[in-house]
Amino acid sequence: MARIICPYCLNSQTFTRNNICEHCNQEVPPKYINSAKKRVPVWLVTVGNKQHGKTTYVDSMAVTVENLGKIAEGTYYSYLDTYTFDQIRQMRQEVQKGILPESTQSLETPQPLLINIHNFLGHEVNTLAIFDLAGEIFDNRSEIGRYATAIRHAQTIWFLVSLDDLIKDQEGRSISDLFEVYLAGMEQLGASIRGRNVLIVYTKADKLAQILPDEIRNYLRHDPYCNLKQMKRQEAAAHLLDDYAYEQEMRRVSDALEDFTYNDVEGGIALINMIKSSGMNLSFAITSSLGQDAAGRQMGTEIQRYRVLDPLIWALTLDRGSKHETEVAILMDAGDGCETIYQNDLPAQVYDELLMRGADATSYYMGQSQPAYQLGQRPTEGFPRRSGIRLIGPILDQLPKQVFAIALTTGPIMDLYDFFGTTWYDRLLVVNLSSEMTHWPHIMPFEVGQHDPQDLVNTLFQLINSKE
Amino acid sequence: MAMMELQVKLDPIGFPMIWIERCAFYIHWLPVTKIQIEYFLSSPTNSMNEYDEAWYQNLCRNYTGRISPGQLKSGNYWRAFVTGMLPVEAKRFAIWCGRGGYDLLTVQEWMDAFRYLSQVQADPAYIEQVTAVEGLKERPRRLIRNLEGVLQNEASQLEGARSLADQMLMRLGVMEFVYVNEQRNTFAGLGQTHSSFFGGFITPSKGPQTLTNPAEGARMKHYGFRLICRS
Repeated sequence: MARIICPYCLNSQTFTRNNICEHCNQEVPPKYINSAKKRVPVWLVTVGNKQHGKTTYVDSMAVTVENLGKIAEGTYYSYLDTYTFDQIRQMRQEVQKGILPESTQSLETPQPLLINIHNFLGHEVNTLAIFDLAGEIFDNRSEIGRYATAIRHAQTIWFLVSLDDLIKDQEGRSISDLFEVYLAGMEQLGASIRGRNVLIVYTKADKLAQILPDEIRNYLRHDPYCNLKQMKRQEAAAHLLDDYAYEQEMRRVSDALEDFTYNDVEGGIALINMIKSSGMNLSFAITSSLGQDAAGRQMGTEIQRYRVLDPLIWALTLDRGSKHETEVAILMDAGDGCETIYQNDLPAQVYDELLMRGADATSYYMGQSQPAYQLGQRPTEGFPRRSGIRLIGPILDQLPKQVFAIALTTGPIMDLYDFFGTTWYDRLLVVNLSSEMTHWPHIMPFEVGQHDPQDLVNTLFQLINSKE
Repeated sequence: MAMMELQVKLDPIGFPMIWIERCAFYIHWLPVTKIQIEYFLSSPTNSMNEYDEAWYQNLCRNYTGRISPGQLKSGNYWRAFVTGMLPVEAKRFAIWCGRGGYDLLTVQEWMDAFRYLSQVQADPAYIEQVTAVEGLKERPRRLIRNLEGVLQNEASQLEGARSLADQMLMRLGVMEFVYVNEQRNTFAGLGQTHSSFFGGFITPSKGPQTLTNPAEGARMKHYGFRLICRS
């Protein structure tokens, strides 16, 4: 049975009896639970310094979502709880009046916006859980962990950067500083970053006209959806979204923005190298949420929003692998010396991380062909009741071709080499907790206390995604 | 003899057996392999741990070490088969496969099968037939093909031409425990080993090898077994 993450306290559970979270006792919207059962929510976190345009972008994105049905057939949205509805209504009013939103308030536990988008990009439903975090917390490295627990769960992070504000920044911050603060936060949370997606979103693009390459300027200028809110039916029908073509163009512009960052942005080379060497996947987007400079705090003109759709589409496509259909077998060592695995509850930690990524798992003890824990059952703490030989063949041989496996072992697996050159070659990740060498193309050393189970699952998902 | 259409079925583990009409039984394509024994060890019915890691490690360390299908060569291929087991343990495995249905062969049954299969000229098409059977998993498929690839080059070890019996490793496999007679309570050995493995002087044409202790047999590095199934 699929485990679902409560959007308020971020703990996972099955919600079999009712829609009350058993951890925080809050009522979770039934629509959220129902859609999360079909497809894992897309967790989005906006990260960026004060006044760099995060909240303005989220405002604009919400307005865009409301009008997506004009250009994508059958698409509609729903706000899943009162908080989201109230926030969006407030944003809508402010946008309609041309008022810029106030800076995001720091909250002990940030509340997400919960939005369902139906029939978009080939999916019956996508649930967005959007955390818009206060800019100030990123100015204080020691504070980021306390406020930014939501970051831990987000597979895709939006780094919103106003290059114009950065250039004028009197505190001397560079673009790479932003990422370093994020890294510090993740370290504080004990969370692994490997395999996550980073989307650098250059905001306030209207202020960058002088420095942007022609290709990017033209891309912004020729956004067919810059006036989506005002678009009438006939005009919209002539500009229906070809999501494949749009995505291709987005990727092309992402490459161009990476070149621009490398060549023309102070600290850009360091940023790119830092992100890539950390094992994260890097993409770029550029937007103008207001279309023109905001004079003071009020504007009286109709807003045109350029490429506001891009970060949303990036988030939904980068998160493509998060389906409950992904099935994993956890193979647990039950041989001599296996205590290390169970003392620190590693199988359960791996299971929880898999769940976060939308996978379901069945757990086996090596040397035993029947599951120790059925699909959807969390492996409980404790040593196996009987020791087993480190054999995985009788387990792997019975698994269907779409299943992946992660083997947690403290010694050599007797029949591992049987699977060289078979379809398991790219479906099995061996996690080696011993110092003995094991030869396998996908192997990770692991030391309890030194390594993060999230690393293991991220690596496994790299295998999974490479085969899709 | 003209090319035959083999009637193939899989044992409970998924290893192929072929039907011999005149013998009225299915016979394992290969001597029982370590992969098959590992299934036995991993099954829930082995929960009493009557055959445990220490038992299996003893076989692998002191008789023939384990080898993967992809590592077979002319100097090691016999390690794919389980050896060092006692006849009573082989019978226990047969019971696990299916009580009353699976069993060791008698001397007569083995020789009848051998004589019949020796009349059939070896042909790669038989390997194709066996490995094409629905439900055959990757490991046994790979094992059968790789064994054939190795043994095609070992024909010089054989008296006479290579036959279907040789593709099934009734020669150049292991010495196989068989019942002396229909009473099925004493054992002998039939088969032929590769000269690099163990002697190779004993051949089926010389008849069964008498064991020192025919009632219980002994653990011997060159002795394994195969099974038949009558249904």
